[in-house]
Amino acid sequence: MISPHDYLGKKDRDHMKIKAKYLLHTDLSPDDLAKFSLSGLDLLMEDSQNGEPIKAGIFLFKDPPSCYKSLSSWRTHESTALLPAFVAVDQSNTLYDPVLDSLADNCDDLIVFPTINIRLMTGELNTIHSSFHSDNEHIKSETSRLLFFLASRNRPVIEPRKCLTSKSGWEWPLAKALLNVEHAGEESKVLEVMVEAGMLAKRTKELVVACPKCGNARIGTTKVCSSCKSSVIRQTNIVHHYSCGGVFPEEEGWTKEGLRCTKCHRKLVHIGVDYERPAKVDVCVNCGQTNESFAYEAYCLACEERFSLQSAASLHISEYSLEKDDIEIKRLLNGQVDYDDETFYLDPKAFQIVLNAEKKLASRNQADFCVLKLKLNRDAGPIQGEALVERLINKLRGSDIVSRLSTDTIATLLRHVSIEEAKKCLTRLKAELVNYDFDKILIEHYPVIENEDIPRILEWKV
Amino acid sequence: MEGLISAVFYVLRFANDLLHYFKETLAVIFMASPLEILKATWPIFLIDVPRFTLTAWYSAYRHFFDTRSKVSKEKFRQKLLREQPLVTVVVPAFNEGENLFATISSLKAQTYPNVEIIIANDSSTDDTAKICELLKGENIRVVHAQIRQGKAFGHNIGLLLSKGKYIVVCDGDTVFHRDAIMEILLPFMDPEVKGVAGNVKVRNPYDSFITRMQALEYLLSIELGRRFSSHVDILWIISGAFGAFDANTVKKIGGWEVSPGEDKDITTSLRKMGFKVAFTPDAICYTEAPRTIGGLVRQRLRWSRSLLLLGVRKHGDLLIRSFFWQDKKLKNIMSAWDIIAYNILFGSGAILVLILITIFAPNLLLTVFLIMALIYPVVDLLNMIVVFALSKDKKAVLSLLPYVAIAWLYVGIFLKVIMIFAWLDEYFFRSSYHDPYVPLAVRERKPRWGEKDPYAELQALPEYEN
Repeated sequence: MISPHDYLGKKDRDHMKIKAKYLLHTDLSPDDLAKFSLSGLDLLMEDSQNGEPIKAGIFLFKDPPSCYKSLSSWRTHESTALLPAFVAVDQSNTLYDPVLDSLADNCDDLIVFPTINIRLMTGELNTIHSSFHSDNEHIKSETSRLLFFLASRNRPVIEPRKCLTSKSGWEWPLAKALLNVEHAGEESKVLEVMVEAGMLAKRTKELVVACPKCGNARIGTTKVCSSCKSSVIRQTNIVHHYSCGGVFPEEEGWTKEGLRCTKCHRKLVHIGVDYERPAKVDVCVNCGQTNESFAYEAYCLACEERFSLQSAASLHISEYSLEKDDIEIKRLLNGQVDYDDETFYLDPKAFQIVLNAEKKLASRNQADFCVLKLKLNRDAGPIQGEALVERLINKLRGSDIVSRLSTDTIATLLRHVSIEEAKKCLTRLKAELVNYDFDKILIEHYPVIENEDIPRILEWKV
Repeated sequence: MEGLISAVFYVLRFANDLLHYFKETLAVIFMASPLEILKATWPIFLIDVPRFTLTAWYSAYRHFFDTRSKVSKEKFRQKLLREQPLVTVVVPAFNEGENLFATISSLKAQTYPNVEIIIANDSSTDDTAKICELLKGENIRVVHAQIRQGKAFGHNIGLLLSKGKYIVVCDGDTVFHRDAIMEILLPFMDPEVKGVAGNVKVRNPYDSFITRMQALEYLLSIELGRRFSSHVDILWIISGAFGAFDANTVKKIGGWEVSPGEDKDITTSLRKMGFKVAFTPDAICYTEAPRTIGGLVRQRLRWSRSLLLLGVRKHGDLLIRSFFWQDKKLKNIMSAWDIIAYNILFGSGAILVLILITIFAPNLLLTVFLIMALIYPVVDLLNMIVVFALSKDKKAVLSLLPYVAIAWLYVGIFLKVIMIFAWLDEYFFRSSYHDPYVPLAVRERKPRWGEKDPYAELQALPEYEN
């Protein structure tokens, strides 16, 4: 079990704290409950929530199926889907459900998104996750756990940390805990899979040297002689005798009578007086080669392969973050744009931001989308427009977005919808739309083609 | 028959008239009779003109007609390319940050394949150390001296670390022609040759008037003069800017002397051991020449002082022994005396004569100047024609032709005056021992030739523990 302190970091304390409570779900008796150190926590019992803002959930159960049922309900409800959940079953600290967070020492260290942001993020994550095609159900469940954890924190970065036991010399503690890997460093493979699937973004933090044969980054280095490859090298001082200009290694000059010049065989008085030691050179003990510098060679501690540093392999040690490659969504999630939390209605400015974001995501997600522009007759008036907006909100999916661009123009963003499907959608809405007086209805289809954000526009007749 | 006799008389009379006319013209122009002119300028006609012209013609003759040595050289070239003996190039660098990269680049681009380079950074205060680290590579080693030791130390430590059969020395600002190393090895085909001088040219001839004059001087004295000296085996210097040696022989000598003029010293040492020293005009390198008069004067003062310092003080035995014919190597005697006689005695004498004429026969001064202004440019022009025929860089030779007219003023008077001043300075004040060319810490502690070793008593002690 790991502590969030390990991966949330200690440097960023300027996080947003909301005054919310911990929702306690439990089947334990008060006596059993008292064994958990819950004092100091602002607790709210499950049946007395009444719309109060929730920070996290605490699940303390004796019966595992009941715990799982309660957790499932917690995870499927939009307002709590991405909130942390701390679970203890059977009065132990064992993590029970795969989609769980670890037990924290101090729950106040966890930063949680405001609930109004969660709906958009949930839709986004579902979209990302549904496009992740993997035959490995275990990986799918592990990755979803990681995604939800990242999404519920204000620091969605999986940072590497040095590790002596890992093959690469690094580990990702957060991913290691949430992905349930056995050996340190294996979590990086799953993270790379998630990057390829487009769930996570990565940024190289360190470049390490590794063995070209086995890829192990635990290597040692040594100096070797360029001629005999021996690593037994000794450094020696060079003596310069001023009188005769003799230059020789110091150890060659030592005799029983003291230091003598090897050229003129005179005794040397003292350094700085009649001679100097201005330079050092390396001497190979094996072959006697006198060289100023030798080559550095590396050896792998795992497979004992010897290689030069020039031929070493390179390992990129990356930090991983939630794939949010559009700044507009980031701004949206940081609350820079206002929108109503009860409907998916956005003001025109927000709608344009989301539209730009969707264009960028279209090629990445390989999913096109359409924007329906319903232009009412000018004489229809603002009331008709408001009524139409409400109708659309009720009829459309939760992931679709409606916005009133002007008095007489309403736009609807339909995600993952081709032009044919948009036509079908409008056909289904025909019963609603016939009651309104439209100037024209346009379908703007944004296909999945890179570098093309010019929509194909089709006019639809009611 | 009568017609023939009258034709002969006619020619003789014409020749007499011409001679008479010539004598009168000379008397008018030079304000002196031919005999007086000859008395004042005989060294020019009897020593200088033959020395410069005959040597140039002989060099041209050897270049164009000596096919046997060319064949031998080609065979040796093939042998070198087949065996590829290692050549160690030692580059002593003191504050050569601006030039070192170009030097090493030109060495790396050499056509000779097996070259290792040792850069001896002599405690430089600029970026030389950083540049050395960047240049370090497979065949390039760097030694950093923490305390400045001088150029001789750089050469000697390069010799200590060298693994090559041949050792090439150069300056930190020397840039090499791509065949320079290959060409400088060719004279070693003669097993008696243990040292070879390269052809040093000026890298910056167009920087100033002074550099142009130096470029011209190098062409005449090195390209032409050393060719002849090498042909007759009296070459007396392998320039420190570019020279090659047999590594084992240099190790036996003990390396380079810590003093100004270490290049002349090692050449003389080689000759004393009985070996030959050669010059190869095809091993071309370029070196920076002083741009200002002040820089030039300082350089030539150092060179001239070392001539006296080493030629007379250290290797004076070579001069003295010759009187008793103990040294059987006549060429070594000729080499030693050539420098002393021509440079010191004749050079000083020429200036002294000019001074005497000025004092005692001022009417002849103009005459002598006119003679010199007529004769020397003609001789130099003829020599430049020979250089043009022999040199590979003909464009450079042509560009310096206009300066031939005044070269005699630079070489014959300006440089000779500096030489005399240097010799007097060295003889009376021993200024070479204070030359900053050798770092202060070293020159203060190095015993001078002829002086008692301050630590002689120490040597007598049976045991001395440091």
